[in-house]
Amino acid sequence: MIHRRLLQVTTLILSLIIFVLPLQAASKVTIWAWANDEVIRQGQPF
Amino acid sequence: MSWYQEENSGVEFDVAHISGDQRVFLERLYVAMAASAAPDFTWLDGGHVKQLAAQALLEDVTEVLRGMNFTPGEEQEVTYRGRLYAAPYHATSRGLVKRVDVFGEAGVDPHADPVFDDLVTWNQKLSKFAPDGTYTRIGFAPWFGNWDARGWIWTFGGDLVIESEGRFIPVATMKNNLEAFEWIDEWARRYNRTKAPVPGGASFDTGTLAMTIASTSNAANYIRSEIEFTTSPVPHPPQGRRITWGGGYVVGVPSGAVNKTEALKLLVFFASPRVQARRWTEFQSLLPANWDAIRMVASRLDRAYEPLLDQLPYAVPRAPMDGEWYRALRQSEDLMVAGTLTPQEALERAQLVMSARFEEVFGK
Repeated sequence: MIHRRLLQVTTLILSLIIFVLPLQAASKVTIWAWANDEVIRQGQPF
Repeated sequence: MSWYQEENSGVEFDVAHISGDQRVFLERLYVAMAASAAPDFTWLDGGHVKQLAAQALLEDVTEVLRGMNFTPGEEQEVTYRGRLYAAPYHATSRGLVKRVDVFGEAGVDPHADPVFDDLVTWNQKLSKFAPDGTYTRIGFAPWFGNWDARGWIWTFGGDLVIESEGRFIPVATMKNNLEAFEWIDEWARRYNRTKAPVPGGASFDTGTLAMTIASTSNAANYIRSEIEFTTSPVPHPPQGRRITWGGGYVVGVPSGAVNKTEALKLLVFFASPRVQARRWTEFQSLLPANWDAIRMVASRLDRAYEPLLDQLPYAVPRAPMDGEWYRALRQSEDLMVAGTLTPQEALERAQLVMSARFEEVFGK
């Protein structure tokens, strides 16, 4: 019974990793900003 | 970015700050694009957009920006074949600035707008000499300030590139361009073929240069330094036209962006009047490029900006490959001022350099 519960929990964790991580990656935006931009020099990107 | 995250929780950014000048930034972007490692969203100099668009390296963002009103020069710079390929984020305007203290000392009205020939007569009145005859102050020289050879070329009614059915043709040797260079050459003769007639340098900031062409960004610095100045449109010869040129930073989405959907939302965010107005309110250095944002902040602008803002409708967009035009024309101008090249030879040199580059980048 304990082994079965352990298997269920492991499966749940793996499922979360498989499904959630790509979703998190999808919401990440890679950005290039020019370091010499006056506004950036004042401490704010863009 | 934090402003965007305030309204869009769950979005994360991976921001790379790219150092170097604008040309280095562009080169690095080209390398990243070639390696399929371009960012989803990027800062760009507006003068680089047309060449990237012609090479299909930027996403068409016309539809997401529909309904927004940008300053005309900045909008033209990001337009290729009638479509927008970036969002203008910052606008610049340029005009003739005059130091009130120096004009007062020389008995010239700083509030008057000069006609073209006044540049010479006012220069005579505003110049000062040491006992040995060297200049301690000059009124004006066309190579000082933030206008450059390309500014004078447009002022004389000339151009650098013509666009025909999406193709770009360099035209550095056209007649009006030659007249502009001949006029600059006259100033070089006036100053005995040196670009530095005042020993130690002539500068508007220190009052050793009475009038020059300055941008809205320069004006912000003068205001901070408490230099009292007035502004006029840049005077033009009869064959020329009233112009200003601006150009600023834009934001764009490289083709093939992995997170294109979020990147386009970010682009609309940065293009919006409220964000551009908020940025001006918090930093007060770079003018918005969105007309509605300019209207939102207009009442808080220093009065010295008014004549510069009046110039915006006359803005000429910079030519494709603007950074390279700047260098080619600057080198040609230097050689002409020194007397090494005639105005015609100087322009032929620039045409040769830029024709080769245009072929390389855009094909024959």
